[in-house]
Amino acid sequence: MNFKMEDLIPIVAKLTEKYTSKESSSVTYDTARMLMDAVIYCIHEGEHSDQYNPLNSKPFNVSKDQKDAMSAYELGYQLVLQKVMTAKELYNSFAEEFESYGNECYQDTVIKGMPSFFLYYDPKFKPQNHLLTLDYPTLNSLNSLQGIDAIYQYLQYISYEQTFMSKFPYDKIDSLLLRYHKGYKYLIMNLCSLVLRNAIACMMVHKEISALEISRDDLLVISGFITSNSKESLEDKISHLIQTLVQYGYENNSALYHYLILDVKDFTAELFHAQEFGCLNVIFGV
Amino acid sequence: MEKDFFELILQNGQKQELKKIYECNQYTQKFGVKLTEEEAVALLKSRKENLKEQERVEFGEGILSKLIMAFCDSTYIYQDNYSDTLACLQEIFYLYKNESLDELTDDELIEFMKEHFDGDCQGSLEYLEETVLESFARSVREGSRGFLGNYEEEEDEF
Repeated sequence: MNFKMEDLIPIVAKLTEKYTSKESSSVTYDTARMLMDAVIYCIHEGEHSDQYNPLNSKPFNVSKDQKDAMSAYELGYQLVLQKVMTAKELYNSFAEEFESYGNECYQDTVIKGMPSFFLYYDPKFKPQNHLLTLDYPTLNSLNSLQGIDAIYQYLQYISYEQTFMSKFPYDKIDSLLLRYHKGYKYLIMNLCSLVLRNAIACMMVHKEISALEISRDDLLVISGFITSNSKESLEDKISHLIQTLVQYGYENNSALYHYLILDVKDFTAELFHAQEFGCLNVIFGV
Repeated sequence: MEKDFFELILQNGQKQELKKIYECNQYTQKFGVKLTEEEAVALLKSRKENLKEQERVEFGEGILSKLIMAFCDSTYIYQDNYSDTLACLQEIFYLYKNESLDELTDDELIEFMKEHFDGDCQGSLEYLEETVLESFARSVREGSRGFLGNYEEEEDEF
């Protein structure tokens, strides 16, 4: 739905009135821009509401013929508010049991940073500003997502990672991280990826997955696995292994599967490179 | 596109603004001052230029009618200098809304301007702009001098 500038100005004007509490007849260009972005963000939120499936919430009755910009804005604003509440519920569902495995970036981003978002996020005047830098890297970047959309997606990714890693013994993950890099606590790295890759490697060499440890001899088997496959077929096989892992270990959690396979391309590329330069041990912390 | 956005906002409400200024004449003529149609149009034109220069936008009612109502009874304003003085006051107003980082409401700034224009500035717009308001805006930015909305500290160095 495309609205003209003329349709949006009255909405921005009304929002400006609220922003200034009617105590100022004028605002700076920067403020006007910020409020226009806020209006556009909410309208966009409303237009894409059928793609949004909040937890424990009824689907919205979105009219595709929503010609009135003000109505579109108001609907979008309500959706933003609801999304904030849903994001908070999601965060609370895993925050107490959250395990950072000693990694400072993970801890700081999720446990220290996220509460600040809920405290300071301004859904009315700056819904497009998600405030946090989200330093801990997830398997997929947030691309052009902004505001509560970015935070909600990020929290979903973190919850998937926690779900995945919680099935492995803490000491096994701890050992793996230390083998990978003694200073892993200070690295800005995705922990889930390392655990996943080692789990897949264990599956490749038919070892106990929860051990998360492969030997130098196992590397030969993995090397053979790589050389006997093209990049595309290796990607397919790794995806299949992940599917098997999720099917039997995580009750066939589709959302988790779709998150974990985001690492397949990078994993495959790194395997081929490591094979070529004889450093497969680095990938698996051997 | 952004230029169009700000232009569009400025165009809106022009007629209503003109009407509002004419309505002020009914009050201001008690003090011996009023604006002609040409002067009102010129003031609105300079308002547009001031807003552009200061990179500000007004969505609804402008500040001009408030300035007129506040300053029309000043002893330093009479019919001959009425229009020019209003134009300068308008320019000063937008400048100091920026200089005070929007920390002041419209009423607070106008009240301050009026008080000092009639007081220590003795009708000098130059003194008001370059000395009194300059100092005031600095202290507002610093967050000092205990400026608390409509209240001021008892010891007023101005």
